[in-house]
Amino acid sequence: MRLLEVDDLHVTVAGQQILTGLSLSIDAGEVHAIMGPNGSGKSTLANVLAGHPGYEITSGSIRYKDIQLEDLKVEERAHLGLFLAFQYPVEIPGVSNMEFMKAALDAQAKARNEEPMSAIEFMKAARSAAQQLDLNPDFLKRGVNEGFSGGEKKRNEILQLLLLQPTLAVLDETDSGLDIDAIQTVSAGINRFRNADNGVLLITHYQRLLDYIVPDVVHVLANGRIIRSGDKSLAVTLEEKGYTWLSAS
Amino acid sequence: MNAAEILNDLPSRDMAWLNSAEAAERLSMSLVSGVVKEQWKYTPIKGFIDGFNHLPTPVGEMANPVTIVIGGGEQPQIKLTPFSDAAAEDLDYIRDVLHRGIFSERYPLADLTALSAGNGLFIQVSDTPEHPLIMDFSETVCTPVVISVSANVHLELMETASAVGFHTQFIRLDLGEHAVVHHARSALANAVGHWSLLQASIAQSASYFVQSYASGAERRRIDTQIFLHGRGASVEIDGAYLVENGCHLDQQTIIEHQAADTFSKQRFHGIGLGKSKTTFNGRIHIHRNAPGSDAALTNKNLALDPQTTINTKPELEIYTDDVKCSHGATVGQLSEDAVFYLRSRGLSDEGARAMLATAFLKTCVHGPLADIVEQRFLEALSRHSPGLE
Ligand SMILES: Nc1ncnc2c1ncn2[C@@H]1O[C@H](COP(=O)(O)OP(=O)(O)O)[C@@H](O)[C@H]1O
Ligand SMILES: [Mg+2]
Repeated sequence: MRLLEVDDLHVTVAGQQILTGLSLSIDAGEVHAIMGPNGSGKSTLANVLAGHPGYEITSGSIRYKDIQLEDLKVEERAHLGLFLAFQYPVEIPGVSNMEFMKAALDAQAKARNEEPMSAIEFMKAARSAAQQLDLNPDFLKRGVNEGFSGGEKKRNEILQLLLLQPTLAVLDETDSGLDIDAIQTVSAGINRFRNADNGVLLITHYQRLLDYIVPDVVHVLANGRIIRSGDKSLAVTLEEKGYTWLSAS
Repeated sequence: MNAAEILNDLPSRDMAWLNSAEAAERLSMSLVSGVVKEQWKYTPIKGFIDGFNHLPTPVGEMANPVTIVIGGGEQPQIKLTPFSDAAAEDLDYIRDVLHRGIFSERYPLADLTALSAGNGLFIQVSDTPEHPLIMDFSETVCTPVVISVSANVHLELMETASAVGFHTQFIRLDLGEHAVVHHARSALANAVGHWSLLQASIAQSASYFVQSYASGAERRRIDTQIFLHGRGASVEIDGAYLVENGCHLDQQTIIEHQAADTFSKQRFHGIGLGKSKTTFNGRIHIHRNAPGSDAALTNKNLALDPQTTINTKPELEIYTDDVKCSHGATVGQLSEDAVFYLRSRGLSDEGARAMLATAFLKTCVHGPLADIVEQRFLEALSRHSPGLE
């Protein structure tokens, strides 16, 4: 089943053209990696998918399942199973992680006409997710990302992924700021999430993450477009030769 | 403004603790003084003065102008005496402390309050009581209160102002050496007019902790002045306020560091909604003979609508070199990044905003009044944006 179909997407930020005709499709059960130099528009794509109000789609279209995504509010996309792990997760002092996740789960359940999770069920799920990610359960009580280290913030994003169980997960440089042990822990979490019905769009700057999460397709993004797609070996070549190799060829 | 006119309307009577002629004199001076003009820049004092003319019958004869509840019933450590029944030496004490700053050109409404009330309540806490002392200013009256806390005593004080008519009150609180007072106070009623002055004087090594919560009203002004006059005296104030559409709140705090090694820390978070008007003025005054003083004040505000007016003004006066002093005042909006983050997890736009606003206030809300205050703030936020759960 087709999960995501991005077609000739053009996006401007603050009047500046960032995405210049990006196309991409992801089927259920697939993991796609997007690699690209800094400033090539990777986070722009992630934010546009999530519905960030600061980005303007000037042409092209995004279909998610069979829905035109551009017309949906940020939260409606989340209700339909779209999830973005932020490159820079936001600190929210005063709102505990637990309070935040419970509110998010409740809002999503309500939107889908499902029974909300009981407080006990929720606590169990949250504790188990924290354990899987080697996060001290005390993190659940702390303010959302408040005073977390870079790596803790990224793990907290994956904790949310595990709790919310979305259908399409867009992970924006979840590996940056993580040491090798943490990359393994986080990758294990993401691999546990993968199944035949969901999809992952993995945005990364480095090939090393792909040693742990093996992608079905690797795309290279440069100057706002996908300039090459291939299998996992493309990432390896890219790592060896650098992005200049592509722009030269 | 003509002080004589106002005074004519007030019942004239002799009070052992206040010389009415002197008060009248002081009043006429202060109403034209620069200090008062500056202090009442954002809140016309006239609106309050008019309030005194419309007070119901004078309350001088009321024995208990304020509802006092002492947890666990009467306690021998706490003695309540109306000024009118006070013994000569107590009257001397009352007169003395009230003339150390309450009755001054800075606070014309204190003189008016005293003259209108004609009486007051003297509370002596001579030893650590087992239970908190609870005061509710529930009547549409003027109420002077003097509280004396003896050395080494620990006191929990809970104070609410719940009257909805025009009312004024002042509290003069003296902490003896090594005394520790936890004072939770709230003014959450939508009063026609409310003026309150809290003036505390902290002796050597005594500690005063205040939690101060307020909402806007048709007209509300809260003055606070703390004298840290003994070496090592300290005060910590956490405050939160929320001012709804059409409401007004003006808070002025002054911390006087008058002795060496004194410590003050203040943190106020406030939100203005709709067309509301909020003023916060935090002054720190470190006197010449106060080396080693440590003073910090943060005041953060969120203006949630384009028509919301918030004025915050830090003022520092430092006359000693060897001090630590930090001061920050901001007016901002909710972080749109945070709103986006919450929405990306499924919260509605309104839900996300309410969660952030509540969290911002809750940072400064704790202690015995926390539940009531949070509830009140949450109600106000949902009134502001219906559709919140
Ligand atoms: N909010 C913004 N305002 C202005 N320019 C932006 C904004 N966000 C991104 N950009 C610009 O868009 C380009 C792509 O950024 P981004 O998508 O973050 O790249 P990447 O994630 O690939 O490093 C950069 O040149 C960046 O400066
Ligand atoms: Mg990026």
